[in-house]
Amino acid sequence: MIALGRMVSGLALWAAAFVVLYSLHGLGCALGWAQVEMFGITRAKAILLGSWIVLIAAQLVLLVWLLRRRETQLDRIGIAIGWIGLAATIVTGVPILAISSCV
Amino acid sequence: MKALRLHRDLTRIWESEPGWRGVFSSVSHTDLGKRFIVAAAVFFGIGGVLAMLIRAQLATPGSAFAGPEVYGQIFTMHGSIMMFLFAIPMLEGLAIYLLPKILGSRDLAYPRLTALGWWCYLFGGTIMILALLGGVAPDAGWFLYPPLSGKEYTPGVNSDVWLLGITFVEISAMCAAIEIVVTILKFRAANMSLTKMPIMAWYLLATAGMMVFGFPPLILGSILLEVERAFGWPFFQPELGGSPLLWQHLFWLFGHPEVYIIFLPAAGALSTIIPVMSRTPLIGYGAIVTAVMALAFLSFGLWVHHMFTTGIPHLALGFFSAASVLVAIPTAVQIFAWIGTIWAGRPKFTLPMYYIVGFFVVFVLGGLTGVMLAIVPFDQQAHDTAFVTAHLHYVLVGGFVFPMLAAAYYWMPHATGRTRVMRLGIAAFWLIFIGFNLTFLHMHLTGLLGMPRRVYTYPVEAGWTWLNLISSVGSFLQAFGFGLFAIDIALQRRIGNRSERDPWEAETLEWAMPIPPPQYNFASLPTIDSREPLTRDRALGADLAGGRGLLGRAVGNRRETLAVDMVTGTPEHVAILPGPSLVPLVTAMVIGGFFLSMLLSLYWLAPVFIVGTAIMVWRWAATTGTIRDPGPIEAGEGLVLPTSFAVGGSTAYWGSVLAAAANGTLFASLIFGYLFLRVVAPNWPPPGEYGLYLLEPGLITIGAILALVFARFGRHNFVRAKVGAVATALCLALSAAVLLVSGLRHLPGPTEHAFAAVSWMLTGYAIFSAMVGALIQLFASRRVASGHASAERPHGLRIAAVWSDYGAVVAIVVVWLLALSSAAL
Amino acid sequence: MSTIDPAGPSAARVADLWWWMLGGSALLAVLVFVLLFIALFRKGVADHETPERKRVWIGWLGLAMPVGVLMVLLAFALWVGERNLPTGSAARTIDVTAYNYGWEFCDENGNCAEDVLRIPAGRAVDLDITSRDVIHSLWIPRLAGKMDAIPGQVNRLRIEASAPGTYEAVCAEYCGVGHADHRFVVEVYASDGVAEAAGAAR
Repeated sequence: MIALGRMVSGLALWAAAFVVLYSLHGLGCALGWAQVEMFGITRAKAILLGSWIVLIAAQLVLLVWLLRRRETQLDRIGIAIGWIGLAATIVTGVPILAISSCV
Repeated sequence: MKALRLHRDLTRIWESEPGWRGVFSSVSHTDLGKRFIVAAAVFFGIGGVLAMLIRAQLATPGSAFAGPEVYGQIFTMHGSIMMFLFAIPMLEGLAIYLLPKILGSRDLAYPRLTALGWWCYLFGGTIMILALLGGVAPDAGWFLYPPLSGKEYTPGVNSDVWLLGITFVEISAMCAAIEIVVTILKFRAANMSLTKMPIMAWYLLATAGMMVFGFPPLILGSILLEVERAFGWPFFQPELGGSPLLWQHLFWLFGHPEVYIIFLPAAGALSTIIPVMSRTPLIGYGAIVTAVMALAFLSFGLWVHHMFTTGIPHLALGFFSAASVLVAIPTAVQIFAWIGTIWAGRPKFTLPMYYIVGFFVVFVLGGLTGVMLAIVPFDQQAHDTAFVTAHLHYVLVGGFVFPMLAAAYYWMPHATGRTRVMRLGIAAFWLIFIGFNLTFLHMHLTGLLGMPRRVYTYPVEAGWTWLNLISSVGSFLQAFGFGLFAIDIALQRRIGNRSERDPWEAETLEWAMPIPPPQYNFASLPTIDSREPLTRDRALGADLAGGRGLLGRAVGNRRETLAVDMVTGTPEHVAILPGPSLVPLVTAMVIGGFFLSMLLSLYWLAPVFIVGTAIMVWRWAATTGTIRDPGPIEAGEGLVLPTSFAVGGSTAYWGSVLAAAANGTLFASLIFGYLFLRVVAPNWPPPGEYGLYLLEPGLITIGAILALVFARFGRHNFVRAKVGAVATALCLALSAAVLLVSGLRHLPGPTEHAFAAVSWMLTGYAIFSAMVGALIQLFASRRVASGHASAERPHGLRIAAVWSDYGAVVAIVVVWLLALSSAAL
Repeated sequence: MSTIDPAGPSAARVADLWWWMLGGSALLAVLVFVLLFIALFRKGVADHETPERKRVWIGWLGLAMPVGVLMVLLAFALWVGERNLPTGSAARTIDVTAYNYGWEFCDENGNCAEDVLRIPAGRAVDLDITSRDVIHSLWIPRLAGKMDAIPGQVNRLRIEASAPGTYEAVCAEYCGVGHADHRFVVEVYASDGVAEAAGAAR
């Protein structure tokens, strides 16, 4: 179970990141963060951007940890999944850059 | 000669009971897998007839064939049957039949659970079909959106049939999911490490894992909607603080992974069959495993793309749009790996290959329109139109039906031991392929020209007449094709010639046995050193039949198979499996009694059946295990292994862990529902005064922590085990009682506001979980008394602890969540 | 009723998107089918996987090509989606209430009409959509994408018609036995300063 968990950890972290971004977004819009200014952008956008960057960093840390062991094919699949998790976290968060928050 | 004697002895041990009793008591995965497949095919036929009625109605504008009331039932039942009574059970049947055979095992991890799943599926499906015949079938669309499906707009029993019937069937899906995961992880051939598994096993592992986490949201949604309909708890009524969108979230949280749950086993069949038909190994095993895992996860981040028009802000839609686009990539990896495999090999133009080519054409087109629909602005135009109808048929028929037809021809010789009779199959293929495209290809255009889904008629002026007529003609061609296919399969079953043992020159273990397969699968179990055991050793089948493998003997009536280490496949213990039993059937009937009494609004009767179910489960568990310690036993080839009675990491333990994971997903979905309503739904906060309270949370925290401690009481000193179990049960029962008191003291009536409704639901769930934990600990204490659990066989206590720990944690979480959120109102 | 015969800027952008996607999809489908055809019929010998083969089929065709195509598409789509949002000011705001089986439209002055929506040409109009009973979905195929009418919440949809005329609209979400006939019409009348307003709406 632990070996399997390690293998899919990259995507499991992506799933967590996705849930965090989506719930922060819903919460922010409900609490009116889109109307409050923060660092020259809306608070909604600032908080989402910040969380996104932290989540990407977390994916990177995980990837470095996965890269440390590459003995078996299971390890190598885990590394590939780590890369996928990183890429997926970046791509699913990209809309934060371009899209207005609560419309 | 040894082979023959072994065959006789093992058959005596493994065969089902004779006559009618055997029909009801069989636990053989071969029998039950075939039953699942045949029943799913019958439901496919019924769903197909409904499809013909739809196309008959839509063939011309202003048709008077069916009125809107009947039409509503027809399209709702077509979708529901195809999804829940055909696709899911069909893949379960395939997995149940095939898994032990490709893994080199003699049965699945829980033979009686397989049987329970079968009966639940049969009974639930029968309820649905009877409702259809009685004219009271569900009629609000197969995703049953409230408020239309609620009591006010569907006062009849129609929606209840769906909610109860489908949930009944989902019991079998949950059973199958847990069983498949544990079987793949534990019941493999010796030394079959995870990366030496046949690729199909990876696909099924991903599928079953997704089912463990994907179905609970739907089951929760069904419970909430049924409780709203039956008792008036307003989860989905905006005027009382509910939200109809909550249902959509819960439904699609299941509904999108569901699409991949259906696709992955079919893709697994393709990854199995294509290399065989191309006479070369699959390109990129590791890449495909990676792609499958990526699909399994990414598909949980797509559900809102069914809700792009519900007014959710564009940024949130953007997250889901991006994930929906991403999911196309692992699919593309597989498509090109398959084409590359064909390229590398010398393809054989057998009948399965026809359907595989059909799959490529249909599924690739469906995938491309799928990417289009992932695009928010385009989806807002195409959503709920015939374009989506066309797309989903391209994906599901292309991605599931065509591969299943290929699989049917591929594995028919295995199941029947016979070869194909005539060239009927080719004609059937062309009828299905041409008919399908003639029905659905231009239906994309029909949708773009403005035809919505689910209209029972349309005006002449709309300009959709010809398009619809062609679709109807195509659909009838298709129907003839499927009819011909059924005849072809029946002929093969009846009058086909005897097939040789491995007719396709395949490499996986299921072909290393006599066909049709004996009840025990393998007379002795193989040891594996490569992914293609049959390529390495063509005589493997004969060796195994001759007993030159592991466990190649017959001991009394003991059903033995090998359990291995999850990762490396090193032999770990000898699993001893239960034989034929009527308990699964009776249990399913008692559960059915519960669903029927709910359906008939006999709510006072329902608790009786819940108690009955608990009694049956108790009796079921009581027939496992042993009081005599067999000690380590010979497994052949010099291996001496403990039995499953004596090891901690037994299948029952891992099954309990998975059940807790599924249960936890249900619980998490319920908490999500609560938070969602609080953030999004109108008419909050609820009327009335609320504040913080600490007495009950404190008491329950103490009780639950004590339960956690007492459950570990016997770990190091078995003498205290019985006391520990009883004390755990007592603490949990008291916690449950305090939960009830807390609800009565602090919560308004559940019908007053969604807050009260969802809080009572959380309280009820916590009470239920704690009581289940208490009962199982009570059971554990009886097991200690009877000697089934002992210092040498302590794992029953570990299993009980999984359940009681779960109940304790849920009680703590619920009581604090309610107390704190009450303070924050 | 045709989405590919758009009569307003929002629907026109989506129609453009559709033609681009159709073209791209057709190219990709042809590529896949040609590769499959060659793979099936080329004179080959059965050989094993090689690193080069894996690189071409999985690395380039399976991974790199879709990533490239899809990222461009996603960026384009998000841009179109953003332009279709009701941001900036609208000339009119009309309250829409869907019910079994009809549509009620009320303007800022409280003037209401049943099953007929009147809007000026060339002006951005916001529809504030809700429902009185079950879920419906408002769809004027030639003007814009659809928006659900959900009881208990108000969803805003921006529409704009480029020219005067009559446009048909339907309910797209199944709402019960009257769903097929749950329709209305949009009557677009000419208004002053068409060009100016259209410019402002962009």
